[in-house]
Amino acid sequence: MELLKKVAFLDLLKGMKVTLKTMLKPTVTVHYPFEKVEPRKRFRGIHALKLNPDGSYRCEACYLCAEMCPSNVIDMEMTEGKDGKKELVDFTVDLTRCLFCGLCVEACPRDAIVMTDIYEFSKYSPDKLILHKEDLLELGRYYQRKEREK
Amino acid sequence: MESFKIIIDGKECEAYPGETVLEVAERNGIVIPVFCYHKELRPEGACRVCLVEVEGAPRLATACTLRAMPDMVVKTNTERVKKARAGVIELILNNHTLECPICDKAGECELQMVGFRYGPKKSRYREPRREKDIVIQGPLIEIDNDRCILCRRCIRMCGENMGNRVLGIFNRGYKAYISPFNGDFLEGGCEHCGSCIDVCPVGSLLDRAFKYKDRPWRMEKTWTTCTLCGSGCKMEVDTYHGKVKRVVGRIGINNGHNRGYLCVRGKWGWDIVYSDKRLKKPLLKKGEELKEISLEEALRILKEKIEGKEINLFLESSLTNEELSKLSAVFGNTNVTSDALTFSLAVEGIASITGERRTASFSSTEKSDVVFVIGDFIEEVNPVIATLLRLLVIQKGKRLIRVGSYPSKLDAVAFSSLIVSPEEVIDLLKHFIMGTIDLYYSSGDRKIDSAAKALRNKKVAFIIGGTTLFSPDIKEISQTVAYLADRMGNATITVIPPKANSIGVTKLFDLKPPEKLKGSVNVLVNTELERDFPGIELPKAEFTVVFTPFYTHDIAKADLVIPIETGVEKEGKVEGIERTLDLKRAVVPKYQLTEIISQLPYREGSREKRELKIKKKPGESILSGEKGEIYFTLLVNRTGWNSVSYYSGNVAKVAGRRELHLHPEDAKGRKIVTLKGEHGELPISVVENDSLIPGTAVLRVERVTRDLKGLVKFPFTSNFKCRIAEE
Repeated sequence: MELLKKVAFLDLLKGMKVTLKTMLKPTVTVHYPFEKVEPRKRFRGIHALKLNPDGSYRCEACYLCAEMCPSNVIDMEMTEGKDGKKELVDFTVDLTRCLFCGLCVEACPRDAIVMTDIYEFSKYSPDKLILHKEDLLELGRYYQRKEREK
Repeated sequence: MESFKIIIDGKECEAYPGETVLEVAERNGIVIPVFCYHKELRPEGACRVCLVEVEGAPRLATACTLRAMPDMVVKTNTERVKKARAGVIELILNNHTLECPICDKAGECELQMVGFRYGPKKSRYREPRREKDIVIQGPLIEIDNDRCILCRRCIRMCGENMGNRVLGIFNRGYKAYISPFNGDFLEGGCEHCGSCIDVCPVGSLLDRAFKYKDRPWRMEKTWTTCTLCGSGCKMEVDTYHGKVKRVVGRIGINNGHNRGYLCVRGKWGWDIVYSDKRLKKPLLKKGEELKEISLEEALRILKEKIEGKEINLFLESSLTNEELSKLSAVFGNTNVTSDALTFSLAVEGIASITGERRTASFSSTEKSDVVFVIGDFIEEVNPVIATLLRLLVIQKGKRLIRVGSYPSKLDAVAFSSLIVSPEEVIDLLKHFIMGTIDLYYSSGDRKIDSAAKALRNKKVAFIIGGTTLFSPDIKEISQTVAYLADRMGNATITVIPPKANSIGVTKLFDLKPPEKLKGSVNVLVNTELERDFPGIELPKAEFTVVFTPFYTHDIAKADLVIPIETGVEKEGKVEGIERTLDLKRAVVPKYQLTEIISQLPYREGSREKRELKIKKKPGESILSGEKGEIYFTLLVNRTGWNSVSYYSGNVAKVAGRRELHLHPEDAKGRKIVTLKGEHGELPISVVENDSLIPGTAVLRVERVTRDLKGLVKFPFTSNFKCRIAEE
């Protein structure tokens, strides 16, 4: 019996069992920077502000998203516009603190703030991680393009 | 008063005769929702949300109008009441737009709070809501009628409490809306006190300076005192990220002596802090030009220049006690003048009878039976004090007697208002001295006799204020009033300070007229010469330092200019009409006067002891007019007092005009006349005003400018003699 084990490399085969089993199957590992994973449908990436078809933003600066936020990420400045409507002066999202819980999206009564599928946003300086109104609107355009493609 | 017991929700509560069920419930911690009821207003019963069940009564009754009666059994949370309440709120919400996300009231809206707690969970109505139909935009107030619930709080506040009757309901039923008469605030006579905004339970009446600027709940609240006049109103300053967003009075919540009432200066004058005329850096005169320098350098120069010199100190009396004591320690207190000089004369006059340099606080009027006001235009100089005096009559049922030379808004509620020529005011007061003691004394005028009769054996609160404080007669008038009060025994005297800390300045300094200053360096603190010292030239000096928050006309005469803080940036204490008032800093200023002054060396001060001569006799008028001369009063408009409308963009929108009010007899149909004073003349447009008495004139100005120099001379700006040039 001992001899048979030695002749047939049974221990070796045992050790290689997993390798032999999976070596002919397709690979699962993603070589991240060179290959990318498609996020799931309801993935919560960085924020964006949606736009109306005519190019104006949907946000009415009601401050409910900021009120909902557990880590005080969102801040905004508002004023009265020239047409008498409420106007957003600045909308800041501080990504250094955000925990991507998505409560702001749920709170929004106008469906203005959404979360994109972008998860790569590392920057060299922390102040670049504070998104302003223009950045968020740009992201909103990207989000709506993606939505249309789907 | 004898109290009795009523039972509310099974709890035995103590009630007094005349109280409503709602008041009893509120005091005992039982919550009944309300919309139209407000602590400061007459109950009306318009909204029907405070319905309660009374045992024995067939129908539900409104708690706000139901008087408590002995052995009453009231239930506030039975199923029947809850259903009726929810029904009422459902009807109100049916026609209320759902724009809470953009409404400026969201977060402190009473409809929101009551609706969430007592309202129906679902509405059965499917009819379309009112759209943005009627929006009335005034310069500072906006009415969004689609949010209005027709509780009539604003109308009662404006018509009854403020006495302006600007707002009203137009149309009936579904189409009813609130609007000022004529649809225009300025034309309707709005004073822009902002009380209607404060009492609105929903976001229908809006502060336009705050519209869409911020959300109510996220702002930091600072309770401070307004320093823009002597009323010393307590107010709430809301800031976000160190920037002032609005000022609110919070009528009904505010526990200051003003009870939340504000005027146009307090409510909208906060933006003097962000005025484009603010001084940014210290300036130094080099040759003919003023150059910006650093604060360290400015202090070094100042230290050099004032060392061992006598200093002429020109103070504006809005400075805090801390600032004043530091100023007196650094610059000395021997050569000091201030715009509180006339106020100090009034205090001197009273002290010559009572022996004490102090006046009673405003709350003394609460304990009195009769309020005796000697003063003109209190509603322009101290609008909130005029409102409080009005409320004493219509809420507390006190009698108000007014003596003056010009018509006033207070006459509408006065028991008796005696308007006489300025030179006769003291004689009139002497009739009172006789009339209150001698039962059979007759002055020959029934009006005076009946007023004197009303004073007999009553607790009287005397109030001196308004432009009368700037009359040349002021010392004599206050002496006569003090004599009258002394004779009556049971009386207090209050002098309404024209500026925030007039009392503090008079206490701390022995004020001198500007001509008697002997120093060789001029130091001007917070003043504007034209406004505070009209008709006065700056004394010749080797060096002139100006501490000012703004670019004023005095800067041209200065050698060194140092910026200081103003308005809601101030911190400290002031001696106001209601004892010591606290100022809290709402915004942190770049330059602080106390900090700057602390870096200068203190000097050994010698304080002369002020002597007080007591002579118990009434004063004598020093006014005497010749034929053809008229008495004229320089009246700075409500908006322009303390130059608020000049620096504040908000208040400038409602600023008044410059015009001369003349009696038709004096005007003789002329549109423009030339006023001739002692040192100069001024052509000006005329408004005929038959409520004035002949021989008097009121020159309303928004700002005291250089061309008025010839007509008035510091310290007196009221009851000045002048002629109208004949063409």
